[in-house]
Amino acid sequence: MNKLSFEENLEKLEALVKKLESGENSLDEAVKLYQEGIALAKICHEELKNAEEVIVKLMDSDNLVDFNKE
Amino acid sequence: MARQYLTVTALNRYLKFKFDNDTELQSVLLKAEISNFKRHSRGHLYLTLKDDQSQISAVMFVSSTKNLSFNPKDGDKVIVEGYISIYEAYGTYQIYIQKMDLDGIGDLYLAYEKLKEELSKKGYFDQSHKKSLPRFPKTVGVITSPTGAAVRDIINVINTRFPMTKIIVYPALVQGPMAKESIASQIKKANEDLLCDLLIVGRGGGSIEDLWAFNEMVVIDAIYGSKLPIISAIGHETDFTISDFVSDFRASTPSHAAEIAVKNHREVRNDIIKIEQRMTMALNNLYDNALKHYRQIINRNVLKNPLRLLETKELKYAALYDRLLKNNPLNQIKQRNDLVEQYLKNLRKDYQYLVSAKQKNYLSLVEKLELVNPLNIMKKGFAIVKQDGAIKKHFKEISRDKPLTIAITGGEITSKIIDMKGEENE
Repeated sequence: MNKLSFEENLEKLEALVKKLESGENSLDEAVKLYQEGIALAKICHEELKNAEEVIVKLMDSDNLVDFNKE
Repeated sequence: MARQYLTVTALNRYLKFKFDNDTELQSVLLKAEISNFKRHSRGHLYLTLKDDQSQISAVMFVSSTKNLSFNPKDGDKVIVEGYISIYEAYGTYQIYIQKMDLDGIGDLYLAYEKLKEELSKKGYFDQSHKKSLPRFPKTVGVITSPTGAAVRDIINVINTRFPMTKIIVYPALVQGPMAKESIASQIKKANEDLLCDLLIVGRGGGSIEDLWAFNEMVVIDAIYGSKLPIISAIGHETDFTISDFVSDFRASTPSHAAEIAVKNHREVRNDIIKIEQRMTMALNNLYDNALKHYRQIINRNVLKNPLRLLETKELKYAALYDRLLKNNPLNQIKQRNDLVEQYLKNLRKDYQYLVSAKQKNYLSLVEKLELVNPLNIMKKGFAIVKQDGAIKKHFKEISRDKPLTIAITGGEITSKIIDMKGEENE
């Protein structure tokens, strides 16, 4: 469902936090924003975790090897 | 009449003026023999031209000697072209030679010069018409006498230099009245056969008469019209025929023509080795550069520490997450909750106040009520009379036939009416 990139999600989260920080929201809105924010944060966190796992796996298996002639 | 005396200078100057303005003297063709030949250190030639009865001194400036096709010496029979002028300082006249050639060819030479000039004007010698020679001809056609030294020289040189080259000899007569047709038809035949990549047309040295076939129009046209490139190799180094000018390349001798036609296989082999080395070097350089580039890339920090890629993102994310948590609406909820509590407290206070006020009011009312409580009144000795359940306040409300209920402190009495006597004044 969420096909946005990590950066896009992060951007969305930032906008959302800013709005929340402004303190100009009704309670309803604030709760809704917070809910949405936590959901986005979860997505971001998942993506970061996945990326890290992929990288670590790559580092373990396919170490970049320097090689010499002959 | 007094006669006027001239200075020598004036006389010589006058004579020079006369000579220089005589068109006949400005272009003189002379046949003579050289004597007293001297070459000045600056390159000018000083000589005397003579025949069996007369002589004239002559000078040829270095600028004119460039086109000299022979080395002049005493006794040479020559034909010269030049102009006559006076050398004022000595009062001598002399011929200033512009062009000098060996004589002995007479009319042939003049015909040659004329034809050469004519063809030059027609563009027969234009560089743009000349074909380039193939670098590695597979087959070389040789148009010459099959029995002369020229063909042997050519074959020897080609076989030594580049033995893979095939040689086709197109035998031709190269001197005598039949020569021109023979040479021309063999050039045409080679062009029809198209078996060769290159033609050598020539012969060994000889007198100008011997070489004359190569100044004939039919040969010149055949060379000019040839699709195959042609190297001319006619006579010796000093011999020039018109065929030499019209051919694509002029070789000084038949051997020279063969050297031009094919490269030395040793040199070619060396060239190949050099090319090979350059290729290997180029490839090694390419590989080295690629390797260097690769190393530079794999040693970049981001590849060495790929997790760093995530770090900035992680930091940004963490900061945002903190901010998000800090802005948890729980605070807001608590605030509002407090507010609600406050309101509730206030409300309760107000309510209690209201209630106590009401209660006070009520108690006073109760007190007042107490005062009028019928029970209290009855306690003082009064009773309440009821009939049919209703309190009767007047005598007239009571009927005689119905039982009468009397409520008195301590109980109720139901009684029958025995007598009724109302008040008189009522």
